[in-house]
Amino acid sequence: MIRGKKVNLVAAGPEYVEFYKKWINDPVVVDMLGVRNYPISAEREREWAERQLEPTDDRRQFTILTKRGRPIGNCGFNVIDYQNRFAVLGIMIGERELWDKGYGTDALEALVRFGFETLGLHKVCLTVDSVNARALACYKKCGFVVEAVLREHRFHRGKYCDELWMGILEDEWRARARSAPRAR
Amino acid sequence: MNIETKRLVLRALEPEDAEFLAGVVNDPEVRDLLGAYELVFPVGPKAEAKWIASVSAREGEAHMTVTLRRGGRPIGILSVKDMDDRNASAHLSIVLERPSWDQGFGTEAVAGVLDFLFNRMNVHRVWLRVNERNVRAIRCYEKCGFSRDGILREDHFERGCWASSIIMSVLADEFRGRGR
Ligand SMILES: CC(C)(COP(=O)(O)OP(=O)(O)OC[C@H]1O[C@@H](n2cnc3c(N)ncnc32)[C@H](O)[C@@H]1OP(=O)(O)O)[C@@H](O)C(=O)NCCC(=O)NCCS
Ligand SMILES: CC(C)(COP(=O)(O)OP(=O)(O)OC[C@H]1O[C@@H](n2cnc3c(N)ncnc32)[C@H](O)[C@@H]1OP(=O)(O)O)[C@@H](O)C(=O)NCCC(=O)NCCS
Repeated sequence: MIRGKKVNLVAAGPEYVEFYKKWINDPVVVDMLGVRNYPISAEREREWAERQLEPTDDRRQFTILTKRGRPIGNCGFNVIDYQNRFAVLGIMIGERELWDKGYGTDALEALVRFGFETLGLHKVCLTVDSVNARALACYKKCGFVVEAVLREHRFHRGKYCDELWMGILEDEWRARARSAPRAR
Repeated sequence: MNIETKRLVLRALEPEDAEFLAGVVNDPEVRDLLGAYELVFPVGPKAEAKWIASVSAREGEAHMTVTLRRGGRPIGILSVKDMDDRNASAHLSIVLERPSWDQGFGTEAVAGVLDFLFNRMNVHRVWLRVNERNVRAIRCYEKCGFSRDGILREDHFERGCWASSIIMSVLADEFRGRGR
């Protein structure tokens, strides 16, 4: 378990499949996500959840639980590249009535800390659609900066929008972490 | 993701829908309009469940159950098939249970899926094939922006004789321009 201040990150798996299915089929939740998918059946979602049990070193998903144990979303490393020592993150708070309450930021802080302190990464990065103002705000709060703009790279609601690559370096994170209290 | 409209939610087709689906496609009045489809013999819920499991596993197809937003009851099935990525084209088909006809549900479901296909999936063209005497369906598709591409002359056998189908299609720009 990876501990944050408001949430814990636990291994993703079949025990949460009902939640996964609800989140990934909620049009509002996935509106800004990279995925553009048709409705997903219970069986297909179960397969995805089962696959999370496979021990992979190059990617890993976690389920975000509140401190009281309620599953509210997923996050994880979509890519872990040990040679270049970077990882690409992804995050989704699937219970959308819980948006804007700091859960996303807290989960991300915990994940980034894990990336630097436990995985020993040099850099953590992510991609975000330029129209996703909430996610952008969340990532900036966590210390990510825009590194590249891929012009009209994403098709969103009938139009093309930019994709932003954001990142945070080990040194930048250490400087931030020194001035912030630790989670327990 | 599910596709939501004012009164409907289109979710993934599930094995539990077998009983409902068998009821719909065994209805002679429904079956009478589907002469160009693979359906020939009566089907039971068990066979329908098998069919659902097999089509759900196929790549390049999406089969959805049309349900009422209020209460979640299924009223039909809508499928997107023959998805051609390079040409950004897809085939659509829809069947609603008879009690739900002529209340605008067909138009609402098709328009919802077109919005999804054009504005999220970046599809360029959606097409379908409809029996030329199926005026209700043709009217429904026209309301959604489809126009007639041409006729498949005597492409299927039904009611003891040969019958023809119409190919209809709608393009992304036409659909987007519709509201203006
Ligand atoms: C993006 C996401 C992970 C953020 O999690 P969250 O718990 O809602 O985020 P937080 O509450 O920690 O932070 C959100 C911040 O965005 C701000 N915000 C919300 N809407 C905003 C808008 N339209 N413009 C600018 N800022 C906005 C909030 O005010 C908050 O900042 P504050 O704490 O300084 O007030 C979550 O909303 C989510 O999963 N969204 C859907 C999926 C998604 O987009 N994932 C990211 C894909 S790259
Ligand atoms: C085709 C189908 C999906 C349409 O859905 P629906 O909910 O009944 O359609 P809608 O209510 O949205 O629209 C039907 C239109 O046809 C019109 N219509 C109905 N019967 C008609 C007739 N005999 N002549 C002319 N128009 C007719 C309705 O008045 C309505 O048009 P309006 O809104 O301008 O009044 C549905 O009827 C169905 O599943 N039928 C059986 C299966 C089938 O034929 N599938 C299509 C195979 S290609």
